[in-house]
Amino acid sequence: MVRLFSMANDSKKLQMDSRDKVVVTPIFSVFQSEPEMRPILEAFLAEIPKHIRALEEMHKKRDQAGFRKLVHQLKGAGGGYGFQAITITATALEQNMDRGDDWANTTAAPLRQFLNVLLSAHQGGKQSSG
Amino acid sequence: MYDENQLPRLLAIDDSELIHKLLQVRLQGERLELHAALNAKDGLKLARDLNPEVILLAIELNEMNGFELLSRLKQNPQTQDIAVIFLSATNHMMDRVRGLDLGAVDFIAKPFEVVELKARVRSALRMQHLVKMLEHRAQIDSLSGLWNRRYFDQRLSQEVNEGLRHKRPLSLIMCDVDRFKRLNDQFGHPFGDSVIERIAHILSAGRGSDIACRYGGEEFGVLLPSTSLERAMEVAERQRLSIESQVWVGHPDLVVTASFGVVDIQSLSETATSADMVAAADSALYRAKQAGRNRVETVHGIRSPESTGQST
Repeated sequence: MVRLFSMANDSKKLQMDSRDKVVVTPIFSVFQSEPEMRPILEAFLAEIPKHIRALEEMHKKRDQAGFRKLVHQLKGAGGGYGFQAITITATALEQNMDRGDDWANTTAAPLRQFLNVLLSAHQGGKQSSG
Repeated sequence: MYDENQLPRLLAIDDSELIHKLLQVRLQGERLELHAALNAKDGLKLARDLNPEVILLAIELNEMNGFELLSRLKQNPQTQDIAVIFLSATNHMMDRVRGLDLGAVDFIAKPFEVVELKARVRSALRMQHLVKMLEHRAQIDSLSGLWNRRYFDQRLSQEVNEGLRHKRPLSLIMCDVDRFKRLNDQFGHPFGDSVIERIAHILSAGRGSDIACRYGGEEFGVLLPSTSLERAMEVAERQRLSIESQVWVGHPDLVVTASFGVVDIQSLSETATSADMVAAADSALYRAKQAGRNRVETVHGIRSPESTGQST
C-alpha cells in the first residue's frame, strides 16, 4: 500500500513515523545500469531529501518563485536522470500552480504526489546501492 | 577566426546544476569542448570570451530569461552568429516559435532524449562548420591566397581598437609593386599574376603572427600585432630585399621591386581609427615612391638602407 506522507524533516522520518506510517514503493532509474551515469545518479538521489525539505519549506512559507523554480528544475532533470515519473508529477504540479490565485492550496495534493515520487526514487536509490 | 583543427566549443547556459552534470556525462563521447554557465551574466561573458560554435540555452534563468539573453547575443556582432539551441522544460508551442523567430536554430525539450540531443548538437555544429568555412573562403583572395580587403579592414579595425585600449604595439606595412602596369604591358597579364603570387608568398612567409592581406591590385597590407615600428621596418626591409632578389623564369635580367610604407599605432593619436592608420601608411608609401621606389619609408622619414637593385 502506498500512502502519501505529511510534512517531515527527512525521508527517514517519513518512513518511520508510526502514527502515520508511510509505505514507499521504490522506483528505479531506467539508466541505473549505465556505468557512466552511476556517479551523477547517486549524487542526484542523495540530494533528494534536501529538495523535499526545500519544497516543503517554500510551500509552507508561500515562496512561490523559489518553489516554482525548484519544481521546474526537477521537472527538466527528472527524465534525464531516468525518472520520467518525476517529470510527469512535476508537470502536473506546475499546471496546478497556474490555476487560480491560491496556488498553495491548489498545489497541496499534486505536491504530495510529487514528493512521494521523489521519495520513491530516493528509496530505489538506497536499495540499489545498499 | 576560423580554425579547422580547433575542437568545436559548446556553451550550456542553464541555472540547474543537475542539467550541467547530465550534459557533461551525456556529451562526453562527442567531439566537442563543453563549457558551462549557471546564470545569464556569466553566460553572456563566456559567449563573448569563448565565441563558441553552439550555445544550449535554458529559457528560465534568474536575471534575464533565455529570450532576452538571445536578443543580446544577436545584438552583438561578436556573438550574433553563434548557433543557439533552446533547451527547455517549458514546452509550449509559442515559446518554441518565439525562440526560433528571435534567431535560435533549434529547440530541445527537457527532459531530453540523449540520442536526439547529440544528433541536434551535431547538426548545429555541422551547420556552423559550413558557415564558418564559407565565411573563411569569402575572406581569401583567389589569386594571391592572402586575406582579402574585406578581412583586412575588419581585422585592422579590431587590432587598432584593441591596441589603443590595451596600449599594445601594432604596426602596419603597406607594400606596392613598383611599375606594375609596365610589367603587365611588357610581359603580359599572366606574368603580372605570377608577380602577385610570388610577392604574396614572400609577404606571408614571415612571422606566424603577421597578417598579410591583398589590399587591392598590386598593393598589399601586412598587419603586425605586438610589433614596434623599428621591428616592422626590419621586417619590411627583409621583404623588400627578398622581392628584389627574385629570379623570374624567362626573364633572368628582370628585377621586380616594391616600395613600402610603415607606420605604428603609437605615432597616431589616441583617437585614431583604422582609416587613419592606413592613410598614414599610404603617406609613407608615397614618400617611398617619391624618393625613387624600392624603399622602406615611414611617416617620420626613417629610411631603409639605399637599395642597390635596379627598379623596373
